[in-house]
Amino acid sequence: MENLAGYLFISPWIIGFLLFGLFPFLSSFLLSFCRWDIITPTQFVGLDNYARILVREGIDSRLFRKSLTNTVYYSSLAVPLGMIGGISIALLLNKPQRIMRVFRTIYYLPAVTSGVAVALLWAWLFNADFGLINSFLRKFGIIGPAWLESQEWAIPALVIMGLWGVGGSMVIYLAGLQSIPKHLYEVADIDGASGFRKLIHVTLPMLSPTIFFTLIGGIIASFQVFVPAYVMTRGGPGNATLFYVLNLYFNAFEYFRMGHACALAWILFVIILVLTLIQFKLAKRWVYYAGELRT
Amino acid sequence: MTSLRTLVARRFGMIAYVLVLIGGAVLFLLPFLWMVSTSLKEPGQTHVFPPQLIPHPPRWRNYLEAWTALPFNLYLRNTLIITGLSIVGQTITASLVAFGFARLRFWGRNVLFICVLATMMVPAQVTMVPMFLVFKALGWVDTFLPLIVPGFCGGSALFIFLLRQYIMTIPHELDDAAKIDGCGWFGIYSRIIMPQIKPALSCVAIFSFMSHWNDFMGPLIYLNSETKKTLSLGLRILQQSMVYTEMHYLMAASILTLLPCLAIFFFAQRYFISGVALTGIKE
Amino acid sequence: MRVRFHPKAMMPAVALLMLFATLLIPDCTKRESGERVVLKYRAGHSMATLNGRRSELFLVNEFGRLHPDIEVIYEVSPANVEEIGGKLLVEFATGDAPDVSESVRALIDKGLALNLTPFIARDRQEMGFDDFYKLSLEFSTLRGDVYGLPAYGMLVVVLFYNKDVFEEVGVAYPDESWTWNTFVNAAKKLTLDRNGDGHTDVYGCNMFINSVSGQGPVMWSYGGDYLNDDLTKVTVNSPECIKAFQLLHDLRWKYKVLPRLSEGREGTPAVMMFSSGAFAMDVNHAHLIRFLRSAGGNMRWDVAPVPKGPKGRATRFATFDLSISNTTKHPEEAWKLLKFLSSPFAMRTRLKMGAADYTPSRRSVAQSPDYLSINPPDHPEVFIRALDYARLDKCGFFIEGGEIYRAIQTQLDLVWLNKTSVEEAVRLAEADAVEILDRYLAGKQQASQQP
Repeated sequence: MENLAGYLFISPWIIGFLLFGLFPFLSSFLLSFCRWDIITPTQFVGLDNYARILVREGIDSRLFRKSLTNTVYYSSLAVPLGMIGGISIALLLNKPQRIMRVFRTIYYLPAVTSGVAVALLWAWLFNADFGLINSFLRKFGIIGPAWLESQEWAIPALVIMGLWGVGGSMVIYLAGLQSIPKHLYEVADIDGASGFRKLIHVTLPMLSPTIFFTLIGGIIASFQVFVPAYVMTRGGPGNATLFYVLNLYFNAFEYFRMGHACALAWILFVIILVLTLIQFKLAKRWVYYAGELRT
Repeated sequence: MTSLRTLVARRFGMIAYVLVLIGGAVLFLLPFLWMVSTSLKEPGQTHVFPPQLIPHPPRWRNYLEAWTALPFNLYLRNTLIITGLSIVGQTITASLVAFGFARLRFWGRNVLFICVLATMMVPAQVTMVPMFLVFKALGWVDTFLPLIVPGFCGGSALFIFLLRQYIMTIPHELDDAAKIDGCGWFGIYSRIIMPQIKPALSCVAIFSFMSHWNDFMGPLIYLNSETKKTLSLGLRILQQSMVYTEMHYLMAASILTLLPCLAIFFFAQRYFISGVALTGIKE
Repeated sequence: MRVRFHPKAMMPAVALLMLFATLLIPDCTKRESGERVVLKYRAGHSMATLNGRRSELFLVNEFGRLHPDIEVIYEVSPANVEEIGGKLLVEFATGDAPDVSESVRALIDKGLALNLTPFIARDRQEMGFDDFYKLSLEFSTLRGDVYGLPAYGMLVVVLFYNKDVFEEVGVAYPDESWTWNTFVNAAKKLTLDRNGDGHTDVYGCNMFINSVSGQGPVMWSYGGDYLNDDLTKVTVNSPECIKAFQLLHDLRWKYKVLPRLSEGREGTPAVMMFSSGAFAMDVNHAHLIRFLRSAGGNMRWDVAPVPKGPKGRATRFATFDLSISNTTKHPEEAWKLLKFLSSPFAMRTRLKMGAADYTPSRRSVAQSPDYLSINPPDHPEVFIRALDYARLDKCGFFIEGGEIYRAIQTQLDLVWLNKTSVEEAVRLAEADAVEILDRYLAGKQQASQQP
């Protein structure tokens, strides 16, 4: 009967998936084997799209590799920094004083401030010649890089931009911190543990399910990074910020190569899926659930 | 007995803590301050470069003018409906589904959970067009339904994942006690688990609110009529002029739109910062 | 049972659920009555501004007054074509596309726009078709047939200049005699380091060397282009183009008169920097004047034609057109609406309501006081005379053109970063562009072979 109960509980998701998820999923997969510009009927081309991306040397495969490299680079900076930042801020703000409510709201603020307001602000901050950051550096005699106009610094600049939204993950970590039983800290105090040791031996292990969540979520999201590049750099300069989904977007909606875009999408899907499954396997070694799943 | 060294270290730590806290707060406040400052400027002042922080004199009228430049009251009503219903749907159904994955053993559970996550792994750009076709076939285009109903079907896979993780941190002892008392699975869900996952549920509520409140692509694609538009579309119109002549209105309207998100966050904080014990087993 | 999570939130939730139920009632207001024709007009994204919304709403109401038997549903879609491209195309596929909407070259190419030539032939006099500038019709013309009308106006790239800085340095204002050499010399004089700290405070000029807005005027005036006229060859690897790109490169790296800004990136504050005096000249789009007049502050400015090159003068040109979808159920009525929206009355209305970012595409309106009396600039006729030498960007004429454009710019970006030579960059650009062009030509061949 547990079987039936299980299915009943997840039935909302199953219904939603069958109604709204399955068709888009399947059709995008089938389209990856076709050529389709959304107007003329689809044309079956077999593995041609995949061949152009993975096998045949040409502009498609070059853009694929470049965009994938850029995305991996972005992800490898954004995810760890985001997690460290989020946990640090959460620990900083996990105090019961009432004034903390104000501080938490302040730290959360950039996460809800979106749109052109932020884009313009960052464009000004990062402006190579007159921007605030470079003006500030000049006071110390440092010539700042061209940030978004340079190939080496464009992605780090976007990562820095993204880090301001770390208030979002702060919320999740704060919630996670509440699930840590207080008596564990009391025991640690009795043992004479310092703040740092308590962090390593109590807080982080008990927080590991939450950390696992932000890790997986971070990987999935960072591999699909799109908006910052679309708004700020359009993939430039010289494709330095051409992220995977940006390349996909251009193909889908500017070049009307839907089949090619779908092939790109499903290759990305496989990559993310494999990474996620690896993380799940590794998780058994470091994630600790108090309410362990019984298998 | 604490030594002088420890006392000094503690005091030093305290000072360092306050400095970092306030320094970070200033940094994080910067975009908002800039928005406020621009929202109070005359049109001729908005584009002075490099920007000046304090406008002389502040033009509070901008807020009223921005709000009335477009039917923002209507947009607000629409956004409230969509967001309100979505939050209710998402918190309830996501918790149900997460409970199923976290506590129950059923055939294919792990595979199905990976499927849940897999739905997040295909970029929206390629599912957008077929999804539009589905909703068109259902006749739901130009209604709020495409923006609300998916929330009632578990909503975002991310929320399901978050809640599942959180539920798995709760030890089984209370479950077992309840079962002995004759409680069914739903009883465990509603009486034992739900009260204990308040922090995570409030996270879901906050994020759900934020994402629906600011959602731009969804309303852009599914809402055609003027009477159905949302706040995010209205903001886009203020921004749209290629040369940003309405920056001050855009900032004013953006801030007004932002305030509910902040308010929700501010008041929902007590649900994920507990000063007191949540339930018996935790303390 | 223990009370659920948010006891106080239950009430509003119930209320919301009831509201939800009412939303499920189908919307009955869009039903067509027997005689009344209903058209859908989706204003282009260039009109999705505050004033544009007002002007189009006003025009739609006026149209309704003049034609009581036609109802027009007016939609504003504040998005780029790419953002709603998928939706738009699905609407075409299901026959639901708006009757009148902003022209998209790709859609014209694919045959989704209604051929207006027969309508124009019939109504030529009445609508004053010859009032349109010849050039403004080019964008929506395919193989001699017209598929759209430039209702919203045209855009040219001109030379803006900051009078204050010119006077401060003592350089004569730009005029028709300027060549690119004159331009460079002036820019060098106008590049100032006011406090001698080694950091340039005023740049001589700004040009978007990373896009056709900056490359076009130079490249075309040297006699080069990205592609040839019938779009069958890539011509970017030619001596003329190389010379042109070398000049642009030198502006930044040899003469150091150019700031580091790029076009096409939404966050770019270039527009604000000009009005704040960060550069003395700005080769930019004409519609900048609306910004400069309302939000530009106290800077005194004017416009001049772009300088000429060895093979003459050229500048970038674009129009913003409206088309009728060829799936429309009411072509005659849609044509009436299109005529109205591109009439002199409509254009004047847009000017008056401040919705016209662009130069009117009708002679009668462009040369009327409504447009010419707008001051500054002192010389608005520059915009109109620019039509004599303005050109459309060839890459905008077909879908793959966008891909080719991007491929070329990607290689040229390295030149602007001083990481490669112009010769090397155009060589690589040519190779990529040829690959894409071959794909396009092969596709065209295949399509023409099908019945």
